[in-house]
Amino acid sequence: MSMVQNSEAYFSAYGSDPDLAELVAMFVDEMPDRVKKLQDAHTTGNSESLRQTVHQLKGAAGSYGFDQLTPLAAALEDSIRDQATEEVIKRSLLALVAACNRVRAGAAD
Amino acid sequence: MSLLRQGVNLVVVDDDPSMVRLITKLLAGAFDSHLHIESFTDAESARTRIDEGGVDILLTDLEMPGSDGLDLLRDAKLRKVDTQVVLLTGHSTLESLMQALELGAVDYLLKPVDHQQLIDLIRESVRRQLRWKQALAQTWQIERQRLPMKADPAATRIQ
Repeated sequence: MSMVQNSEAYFSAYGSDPDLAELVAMFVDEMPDRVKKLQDAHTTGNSESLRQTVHQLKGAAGSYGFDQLTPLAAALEDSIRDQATEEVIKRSLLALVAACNRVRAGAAD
Repeated sequence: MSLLRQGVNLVVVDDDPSMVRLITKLLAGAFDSHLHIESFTDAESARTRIDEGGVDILLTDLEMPGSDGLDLLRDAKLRKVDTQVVLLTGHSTLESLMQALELGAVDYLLKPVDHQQLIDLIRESVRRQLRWKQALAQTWQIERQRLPMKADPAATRIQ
């Protein structure tokens, strides 16, 4: 299972699977809500909510064939658990959000 | 197989609705209608279903807000001791895995979920559950044949 990268977009390994394409599209549609939840938790300083949200995303993204998000989510989760500096957490969050914004439904050409 | 015709009841629990959708879709596509799948996104609703009885396989996330998979594992085993429990986990401590084993979990599945591994694991749980059902049905029949002789004095007199 590997994610296909096409210019700036990330496509799921299951994006062209006729059985899963619809679910992948739904997962992509819901991504802005996940990103907002991550950002809101960070802005309000709710580290437990941030950890739970990123923990969910870590498990779900790879399961949906968006493998590139998994190590970024794991890095953020680890930095929260290890009570890293705000600077480290913010950098991890920005990297993850940037990757989340690149996910697309369908498959690469 | 007649036991298979009776069906196997699987309950899926994960606090992430997208994971529940994916797992349900994958399993519904891999198994026929004899595998009855019910899914829940919170532990409390799942507990209510477990308490109603008849859950043959429980596939549950280990880490959920408010409750966790180990609590559901305990409940499921108390309600129906032969329930096959498979835990889903993003990361686990050795302590939580050992605890799960002690409580009777049969297996665990790491997230991100490998689709084929999920299907293989549930297939094995279905087989294991059917073997239990068969053994219990056979034992019950043997017991039923013995019981009337003990319980019914008339039957004893005729013999």
